[in-house]
Amino acid sequence: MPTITFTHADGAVTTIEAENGVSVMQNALSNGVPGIVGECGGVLSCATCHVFVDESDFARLPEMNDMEDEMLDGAAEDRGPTSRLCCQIVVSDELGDLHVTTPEFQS
Amino acid sequence: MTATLPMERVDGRDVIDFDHYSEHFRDHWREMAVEFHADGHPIAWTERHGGSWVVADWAEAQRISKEWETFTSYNDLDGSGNGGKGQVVPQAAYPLLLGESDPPLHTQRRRLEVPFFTPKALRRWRPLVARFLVEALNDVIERGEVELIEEVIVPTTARTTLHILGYPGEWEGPAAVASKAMYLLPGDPGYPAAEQSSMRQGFREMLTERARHPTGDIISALATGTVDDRPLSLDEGESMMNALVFGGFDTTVSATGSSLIWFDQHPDERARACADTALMTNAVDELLRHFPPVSHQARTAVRDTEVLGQPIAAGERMLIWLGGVNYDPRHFPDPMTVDLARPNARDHVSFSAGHHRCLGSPLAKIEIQHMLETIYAALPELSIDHDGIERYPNLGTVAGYMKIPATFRPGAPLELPELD
Repeated sequence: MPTITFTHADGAVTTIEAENGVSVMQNALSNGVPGIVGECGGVLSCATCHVFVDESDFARLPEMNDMEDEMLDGAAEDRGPTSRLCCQIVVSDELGDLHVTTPEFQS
Repeated sequence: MTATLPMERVDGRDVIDFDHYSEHFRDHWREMAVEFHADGHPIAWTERHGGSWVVADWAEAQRISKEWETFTSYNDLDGSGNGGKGQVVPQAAYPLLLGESDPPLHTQRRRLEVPFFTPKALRRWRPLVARFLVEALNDVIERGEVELIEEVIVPTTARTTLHILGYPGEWEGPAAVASKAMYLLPGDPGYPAAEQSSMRQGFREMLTERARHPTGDIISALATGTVDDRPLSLDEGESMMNALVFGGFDTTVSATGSSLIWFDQHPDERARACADTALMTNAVDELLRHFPPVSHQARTAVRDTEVLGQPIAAGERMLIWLGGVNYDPRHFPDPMTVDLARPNARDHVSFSAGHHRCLGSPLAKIEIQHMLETIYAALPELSIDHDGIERYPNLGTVAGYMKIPATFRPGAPLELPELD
């Protein structure tokens, strides 16, 4: 079972055991991880599940689609080169352990 | 105690008399929800309005909303499609081309509007809400009495929605037509059919004009947008504008009105929430759970399936009872109690769920919270005249209010917030 490590804006770190087949966003919400809102429930409508993915993991992720790309432009905190909306990252053994940083603001 | 939602077994299925347009529903829906959940199996058939399976289970409501390949939103009016009966009960004669469509076409249509509701976009709208609200408050602040719906809440929400749309001209006309269209059914005397028809023609003219001279507002986005590599049609643009105008603020008015009434009845809770922004934010969601503005969302099964173990035949309609889902005791323990600090208040389905989840929901929440906080700060000793409250005659479409009169200690006009 992969783990997800969330580094928060204030430096605190949360690590969870993640459920396969479920998005990083949903894993975060189910485990009460702060810093992720996921207002729209994962349909690319709200850009409130924004994360900065660690460079070492970013390249392994499946490429983002146009809609995610557009939505990231609207995220509360400016996007960076490794920004993703984590409702679109589905956890799996193949993808493995993930490390992300949550922004200070999601709205 | 008399049962409010009696159930009988007919031809092998549980049957209830569920009519969301009835006075009985308006006056007893919460007790009905509690009864419906009592056996842990909240699904039953109603013959009303052409027949539907009424569902109030939280997990199944999520599943039905998300599994669009099984439960279509499509409104197959001419019968040439998948047999879908659309998003509302009774089936709408005027198709909602955004709400009553499925992915991938739905995704492409919605994509045209989504940029106006991102976190960055919402930062542009917040000052508008603040400004329109203060302008409305300043019209009444020296009087000591106010009719909160028409004089404060409608102007604030209608002007904000119409500004984002880029709707030219006065807001009072659309606001009045939108309200009447919410609690009357087409065919009822007084239904504003002529005004609505004339407004829709107006939408087409605005779309045509903005296609030539786009200005960056939603009308322009619809006028110049493409879906499936073709221009969005005038029919689609008109329908999507219709949804924004007629569905884009009456719901927020409803939620704000309900919250003001509840806080008036619970002054200690009001004081707690006003002193704690984070609590007020959660309170907005908890009050949305307890006072859902919209009664239901419909879907139609396109294949034989099951919900909560109940076989559903292809062609049968599901009526997701949003208030009933918000009262699912397995997801919201002690659902009758309003707990402003309820940890999972955000899980309510008052904005629906899945692909059609309300696009305007973050704006709605900003508006509701801002109005509550500002009204309480600006109108001290606010006291609602509960005998003077006039509600829509039914909750069939929106749980609306026509009047909420109140008194307060008058004061001097407020400074107008800046607009960029």
